[in-house]
Amino acid sequence: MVTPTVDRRERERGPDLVAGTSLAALGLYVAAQAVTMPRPAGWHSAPGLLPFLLGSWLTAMSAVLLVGSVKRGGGAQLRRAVRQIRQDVTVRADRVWRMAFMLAGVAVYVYLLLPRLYFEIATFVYLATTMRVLWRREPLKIALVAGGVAVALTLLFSRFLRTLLPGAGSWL
Amino acid sequence: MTLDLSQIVQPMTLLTMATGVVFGLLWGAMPGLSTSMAMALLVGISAKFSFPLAIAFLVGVFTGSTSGGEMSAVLIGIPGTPDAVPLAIEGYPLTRRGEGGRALGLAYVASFLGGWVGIALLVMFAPVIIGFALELGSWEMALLGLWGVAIAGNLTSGERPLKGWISGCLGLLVAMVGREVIYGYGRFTFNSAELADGIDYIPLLIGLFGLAEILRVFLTHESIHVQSQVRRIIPDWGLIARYWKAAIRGSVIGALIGAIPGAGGNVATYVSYDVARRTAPPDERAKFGQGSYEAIVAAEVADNANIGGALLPTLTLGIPGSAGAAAFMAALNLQGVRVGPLINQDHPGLLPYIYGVLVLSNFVMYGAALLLVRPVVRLFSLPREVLMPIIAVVCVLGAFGLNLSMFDVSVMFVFGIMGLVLQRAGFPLAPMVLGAILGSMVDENLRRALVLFEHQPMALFGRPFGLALLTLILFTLYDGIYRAGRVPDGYGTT
Amino acid sequence: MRSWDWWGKVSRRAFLRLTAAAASTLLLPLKALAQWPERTIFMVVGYAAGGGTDIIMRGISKPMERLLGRPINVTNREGSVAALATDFIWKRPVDGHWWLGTSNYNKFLRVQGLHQTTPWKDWQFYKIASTIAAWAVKPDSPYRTFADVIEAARRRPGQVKVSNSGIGGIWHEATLMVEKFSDVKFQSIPYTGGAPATLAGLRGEVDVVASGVHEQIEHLRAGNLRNLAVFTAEPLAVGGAGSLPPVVSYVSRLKDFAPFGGSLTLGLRRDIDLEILTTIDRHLRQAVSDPEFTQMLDRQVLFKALKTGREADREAAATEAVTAWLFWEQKLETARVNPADLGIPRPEEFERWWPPRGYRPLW
Repeated sequence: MVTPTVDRRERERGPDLVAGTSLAALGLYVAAQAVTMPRPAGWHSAPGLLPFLLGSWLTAMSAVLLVGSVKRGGGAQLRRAVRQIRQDVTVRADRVWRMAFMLAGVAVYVYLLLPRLYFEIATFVYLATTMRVLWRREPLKIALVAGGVAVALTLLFSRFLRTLLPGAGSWL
Repeated sequence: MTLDLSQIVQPMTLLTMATGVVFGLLWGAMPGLSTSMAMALLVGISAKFSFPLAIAFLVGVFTGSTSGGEMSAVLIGIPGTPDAVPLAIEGYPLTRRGEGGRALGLAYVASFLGGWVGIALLVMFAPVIIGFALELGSWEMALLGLWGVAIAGNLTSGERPLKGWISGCLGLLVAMVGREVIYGYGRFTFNSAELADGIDYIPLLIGLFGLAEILRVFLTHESIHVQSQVRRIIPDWGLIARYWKAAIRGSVIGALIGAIPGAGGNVATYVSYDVARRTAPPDERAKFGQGSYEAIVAAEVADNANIGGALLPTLTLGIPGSAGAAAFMAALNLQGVRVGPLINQDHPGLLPYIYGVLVLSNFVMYGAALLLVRPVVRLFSLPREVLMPIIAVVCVLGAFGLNLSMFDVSVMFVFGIMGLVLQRAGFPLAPMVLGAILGSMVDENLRRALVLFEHQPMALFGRPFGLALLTLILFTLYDGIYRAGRVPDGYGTT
Repeated sequence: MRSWDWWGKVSRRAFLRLTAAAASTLLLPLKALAQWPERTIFMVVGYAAGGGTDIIMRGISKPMERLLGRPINVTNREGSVAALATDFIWKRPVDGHWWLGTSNYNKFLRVQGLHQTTPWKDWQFYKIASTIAAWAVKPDSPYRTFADVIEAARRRPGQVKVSNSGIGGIWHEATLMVEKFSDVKFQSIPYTGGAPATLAGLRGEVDVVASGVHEQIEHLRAGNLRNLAVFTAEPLAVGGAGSLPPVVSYVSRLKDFAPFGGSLTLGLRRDIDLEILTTIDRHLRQAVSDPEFTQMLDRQVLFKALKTGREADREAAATEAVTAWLFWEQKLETARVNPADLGIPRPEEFERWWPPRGYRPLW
């Protein structure tokens, strides 16, 4: 956001090292794959043409990123950054943990709850658990909010918008 | 499908549009919920509406949510949307000095005025661009798409355009996944039937601007429980008259940046704010950062002028001017409208109808914003621990509803994580969305152009529009590289 | 611990509900029929919005919505001569809520290796209307007649640029037939749909447009395009565009195939409940007579041609035989699969071959 831009390059040196390496690898892989694609009527209409160009271009740009990072001591910076992250995790442990919990919550909701439960139940379970852990209010309040939202969303989509909901079904 | 202006004044249309505006205002007012996110999530829902109502609703949401970020920015110093960051810098100090009502009133007047400039630009230039676009062949379309991605990379990544370009390149690569349109060959499908169908850009958009944003909120912000006491909002037209120069300059900047592919309201407000700071007289410049009315005018006219500007390339060329406009384009697609130079032939009356809805929603936005301030202030204390899990469910529904596919939900999930990681590493996300949208157009047109000019390749460089676009691309790359080498003085990134 | 009590209760209740749900799922097939259509029907059109297939499918969905009492949500999933849409619909639930808007019974897909299912064995098609192939040029083109185009292609083989709606699509096929029977070679330029293919001619990117009469008609009326030939045996009179010359008068051996054009076909998986398939059939018969739909056909120069059940199966198999062998023998770049390997008979053997073993007519 509104960060002083002068030290941005400094700040991003560490991430640049990782990004540059992995993106260059991705670019190379894409370009290599593109070469193996068929050429039914010459190279100029081949399916692999643009992927090849994009892969090469990505590799070149990532290389620039990588070189810039290494030149300015990206390696040392990266080690510092890792230390920093470790520190962050302890200092801002609460935030990191909440973010991770949020992410895991969505994963559980999408991959475990929805395929097995009715939409409104899965949603209720997800919302109630997440709010319980993050919000820490009395269970009744949470149950009311989570239940209300689950029912409202189900009705909105199945009755008003007349579309299918994800999940194993719905009884509303 | 034919539409005419009389459909705008139907009660149902007006009601839907007003609902959209109010929804947008509320949405934008809540910190962490942006315009792009609202638009992306509502695309699937709008598909269930009739054609005129879907447009009215989304245009309303677009207008409303663009102004929605202003309330929290001024009153509690937390920008409701990324567009409102300059406003938060300038408006909140005024609130602390007890001038919050005046500052917010001015912000609304500025938004209202900016909206008109954007609409005027759209109405005036749409026929010009359509006429010009009909002359563009396959080669030019391919170049235009590439330029769009390049310029979006330049404008959204501050002094590090390389990162913008990488993001755009990744987006183009996303579009390469699946069967290509010429031979039907499956690229990068890894024997997955779902990947063979390609990656839809709406779940991608929801992932990047929805889920990633939810995660980021938890990572970067403390919980807020702020009470704000503002008694009266005063729309002071006399005040804006004093800053007419900033208003005109800001709205033109906003509209033009809107017309540039991929660069949305956040870029527009930053650039306008930055220009205003540099051109302000010394005594006014001293106020910047401490609460400058001129700065508020400059930023907010640009924000709303951006809407009309962003719709210009979206409707006439099929190249979205911002992430929000990309979602609007997807919604039109779902209604069977192919945007682009043939829009007037294929859908007579559609453009005037969109203009009409824009005009009305601008009025409604102004009125509703002033009326809604008091109830909305209460929303600020809505804990994000409650709000964000609900939004996460809506993200899942939004991604699923488009094709009723759980695969799309996975796409949303993966790009949500990717969006967070990339953004933390300093990569802007808008170019990626643009790349994913334009990828197959670039691919199809590039290969066709090469086939067309198989026997006289040099002729590719003899086509005036093509040459102009090629020059533009090279200039954009040069500009980016040049800027990267200078001491940065630009605007930040989002 | 106490705070988790409520949660355990809910979870048990959820479990009971789940059991009930599982039980009702077993009973589902029995009651599915009575309720069909129980929700919005999704129709996925395999070509771009604004093209012939799209216009017809959107046109017919309006009266069908009224007759079925459910909304029909039409979306486009263009590319690879509708293979993407076909694949998509093939993988949807077999509940009658997923319709495929395609053309020509998907006869292009198998020979090009784009899709594996057999049109008359795995799908029930409903032909709704048909189109006529046509060639046009810009008004200032040096080609005055279709004969000039053939002559130019003879002088400069592979250099006269002809647009089409996709490699191995219907307009490409029409052009291939001209190539085959007048022994010339064009340079075929693929677009994604007939509308963009026509637009390419308008802005002079190609020398000749090959698309449907319906895709050219507005431009012919406005004088932006000049028609050279239509794929018929007799001249075709079109309101506002005069009488269009038949291609047969330039390439006489094409008369066995005229009139030639696209069939606009609605496809459903054949393993959907028979009663659902026949209900659709019944309603379609009514829907094609809808005045608004009929008017639209006339305005767009499309021809009403309802064919369903075993009639449609037969036409699907017969046209696939012609196309597959034409593509294979003309060595089309994308003809990847030998029709013989697919069990597709040569066109001249078709009469003896039909109905093949394993064919099961639905009605």
